[in-house]
Amino acid sequence: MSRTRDAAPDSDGSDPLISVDDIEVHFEKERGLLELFDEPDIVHAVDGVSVDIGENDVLALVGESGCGKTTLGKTIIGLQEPTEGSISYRGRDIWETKAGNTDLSFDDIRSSLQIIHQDPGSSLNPNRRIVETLSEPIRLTHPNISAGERRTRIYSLLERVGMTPAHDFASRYPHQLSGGEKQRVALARALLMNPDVILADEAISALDVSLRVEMMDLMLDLQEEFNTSFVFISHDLSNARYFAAHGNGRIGVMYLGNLVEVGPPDRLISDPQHPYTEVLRWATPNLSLDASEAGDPPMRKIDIPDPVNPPSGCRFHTRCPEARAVCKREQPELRTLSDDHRAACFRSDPDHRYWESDPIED
Amino acid sequence: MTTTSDRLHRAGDGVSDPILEVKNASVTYDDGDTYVLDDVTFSIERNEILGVVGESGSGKSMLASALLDAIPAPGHLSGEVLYHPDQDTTIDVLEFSDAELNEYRWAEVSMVFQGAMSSFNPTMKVGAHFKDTLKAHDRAVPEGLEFAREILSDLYLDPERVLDSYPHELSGGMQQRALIALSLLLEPEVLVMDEPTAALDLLMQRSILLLLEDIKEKYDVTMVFITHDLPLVASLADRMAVMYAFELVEAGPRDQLIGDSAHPYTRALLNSTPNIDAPLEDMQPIPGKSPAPVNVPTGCSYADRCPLASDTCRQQDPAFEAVREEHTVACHHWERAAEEIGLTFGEAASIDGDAGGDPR
Amino acid sequence: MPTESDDSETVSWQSGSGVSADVTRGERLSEFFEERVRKPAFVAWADRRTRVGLLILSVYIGMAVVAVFDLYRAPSTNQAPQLVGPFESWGHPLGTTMSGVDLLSLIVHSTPDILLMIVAGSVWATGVAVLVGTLAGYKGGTVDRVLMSISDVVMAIPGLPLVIILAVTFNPQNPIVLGILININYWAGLGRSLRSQVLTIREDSYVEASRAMGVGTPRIIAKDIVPNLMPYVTVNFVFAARYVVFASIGLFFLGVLPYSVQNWGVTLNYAYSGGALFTWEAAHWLIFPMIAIMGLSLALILLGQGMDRVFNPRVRTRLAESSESTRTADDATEGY
Repeated sequence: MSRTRDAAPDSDGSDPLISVDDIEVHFEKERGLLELFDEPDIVHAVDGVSVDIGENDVLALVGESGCGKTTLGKTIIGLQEPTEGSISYRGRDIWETKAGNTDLSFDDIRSSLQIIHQDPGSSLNPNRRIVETLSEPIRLTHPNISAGERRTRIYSLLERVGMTPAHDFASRYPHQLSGGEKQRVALARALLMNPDVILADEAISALDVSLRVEMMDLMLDLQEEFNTSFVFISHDLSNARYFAAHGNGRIGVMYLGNLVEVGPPDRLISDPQHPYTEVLRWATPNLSLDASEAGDPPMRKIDIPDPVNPPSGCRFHTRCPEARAVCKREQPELRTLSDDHRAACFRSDPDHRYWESDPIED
Repeated sequence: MTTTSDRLHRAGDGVSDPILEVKNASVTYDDGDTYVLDDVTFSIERNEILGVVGESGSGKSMLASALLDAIPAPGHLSGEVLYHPDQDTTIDVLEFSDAELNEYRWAEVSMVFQGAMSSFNPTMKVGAHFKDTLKAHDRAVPEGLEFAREILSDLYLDPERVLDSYPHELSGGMQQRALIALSLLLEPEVLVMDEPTAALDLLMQRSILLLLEDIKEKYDVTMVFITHDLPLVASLADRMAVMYAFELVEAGPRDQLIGDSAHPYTRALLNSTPNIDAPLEDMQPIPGKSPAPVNVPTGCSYADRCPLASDTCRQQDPAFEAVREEHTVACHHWERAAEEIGLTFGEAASIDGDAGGDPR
Repeated sequence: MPTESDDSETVSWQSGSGVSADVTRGERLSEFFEERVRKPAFVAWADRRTRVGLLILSVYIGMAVVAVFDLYRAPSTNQAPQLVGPFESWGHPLGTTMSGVDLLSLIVHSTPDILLMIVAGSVWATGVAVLVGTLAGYKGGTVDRVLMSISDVVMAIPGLPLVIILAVTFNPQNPIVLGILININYWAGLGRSLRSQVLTIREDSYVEASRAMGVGTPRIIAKDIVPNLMPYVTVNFVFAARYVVFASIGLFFLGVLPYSVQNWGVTLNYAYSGGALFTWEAAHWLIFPMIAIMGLSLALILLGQGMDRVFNPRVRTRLAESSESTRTADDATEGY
């Protein structure tokens, strides 16, 4: 079951930077001693996703917890091996490269894909000072640089991320920094590897609301300078919109392991083509006075289904206010609606059997 | 530090039937050198939802603990916390004996903590928590559990399944709702919630907010919702209060606080949060950071980051003034705040037009 | 892809503030000293328990030095009158045994061997445990299963009979070998509990970040995992040391270990068979070695209790730094 590929807007050369083709990532749940002879429960974290990342690209992934966005993100940067499907870096399969079967060395790929974590408290080694933590990436990428030159780079990057005086911050331990400062150090550490793609896994969710814009601005400023793409994971649609819009990228909406809608932020938000995107929109807090009296949620159930047993057909049919009988049986593919806007819903096809099908009764 | 006189505050705050009043509440460590709550005075109207907004490090969690007289030692709470179970009775919470405090907590004023995951005992089933609470307050267990089942189904949970599960078997959203049910178990008058939706994702947050409205109607509770996320509580609250550097800086009805706030910090806060409808260019972070308890400056604590700051601000702590009926603010230059700091969202943006000043 | 040439073209690394970051070798050395030696020592000294423990331990080290450099006469029979009581003369301050051996010299000259045994035994036990625990915990999979199966088998072998059999069979004289022998299967239980801790530490984000950067496994274990285990390791190091003390003394007392080695346990055995338990005149023969044993054990306990603070970066910075810019809110006010 292959899906239409989602092409990045500007890919240099013939191969996109990262190309993910119909991957599945399934986890087996741990079994206790008594269940040893039963079939293991399988969590379908990611099921059949294809997406491309270009140079200097921004892809924002949104969805509820359990939708697989973190797993997809980690697969994109090569920290998670897919159970099915393939992922390529500049045309070479990453996991084949790890086995030594391509012309690239895995070290090169590994160092060009980096991550910034959600929790600032555990993203830095508490026993090492900042200068030591930041020396590590330089030592890996430029082993022949002198200690003095290393320091210069560290101080200069600390200043770039807004931590001055740099030598004071560099000699501190992580517990002496605030959450926002720790995240900036994590960003600096990722950038010092001079990566091609950085995965920002809910990187701003742990920061205070008033600090989030600052952090996103910082990431976008440095993106141009370091020529890096971002995969920005967020459960908050307004943050994803800010980041994707300023970065001239796309927003991808995920639900229970599927990519259900992908497109430019403005179009996705003003004219969502998938009912789930509408639900996310409804849930996003809004300061406009008239919108604060929002009505009931545009979905039939609050709780998300168990990823071990995803619903049949279209996975959203158990909560979708527009669901009909055909949605229970068939799963919609990610269809191209316009240039770079894709959605996986029968409603976007005026000729589909959906329109003759009966609505679902609860 | 000034003494926020309750005469001034009473004149302006428009609370006619307070259920809880906090007067000059201060929490200090180190015997009076450092304050983590600085002379806070405000009232909570019966059956309203009060939203208290502040960054982390503004003292809001201390405020929550103060309402239950639960400041952890070696902190010391001074001032008054007055509870009015009905219009004619006044009880000073801080004068309670231990037995009275036990009865007050959870049965009169109850609390929902941040991080449901760490609020439950992982070795006990959820139902056991409910039973423990009932027994600790000498309530009949079977009737109490019946009531618990009712609350749980109001929160869209399956009562039997939830009561029979261990906390880790439930999702984050379910744990948080179970915690809310636990806090309502003894039918309290006031529910204090400290970041109850912090670790949850968007849909769950929004759904829980809607549920809280229903709960408030059905169970007749007053709610105090404390958070750093202003847009989140804006849809729920009747009145709002803003805290900065351990002090209260502005309080008033929600519509006025969002559409026509008078304190520069409130306006900057509104501008700094990414809003789904706001034009992208106008979002601005607030430069600088809030002071640690040892570093709170004399005079107005926001002066360092305020575009309207003058010498008066740096020397004198502003007193509360009434912007209009029910809306009070502690700022020397609040009249100019509206012109100088434009708001960047929705109707407010079209009202203020190009007056958007640059707080940088 | 990161290569040397890419950087110079696209990224400017000049420091905006103009502060020269050129660090001389001397400066780095002094930084190293400051962080790794001075501050931990300061923290260690600040705690009264560690201070007392270190002081007591230094007495023993002093005795060992005296013995090694022969600053005080070695014990031999009939070097002094028999069964002289303690504190009676300067020639033999602690009295003498029934064979006329000076008790003080017996105690002093046993110390170097005992210290060697302790160090060898605890280094062996904790060293192997750290190796096994971190490898098994971090790598997981087959490595984990193999290592844990081996340590399960080793743990199941009863320690005391094993030591006795090996001691009787091989009759080791060297205190280092003896130390290792006594603790020969001590590492297994410790390795298992270290593995559990590693399983938790492994999930911390910074470990995944190191993996993402391509840092090799040995370096991740050394820099990211072990420093977080150090409090637990030091405490268990001390426990292993105490075990060696008591086990060795016990085994010497029982006569399992060879008598040719100088040891307080040997002295205790002679004292016991010389009836020191029942005669007041000979009691000092029993008591002073016991005091020596207890003192060493106490020193080790105190040291162990105090040492875990040294490895805690929060304590280190709080005590050793006083600059205003790095001052953080007191622990009590966290979470307001």
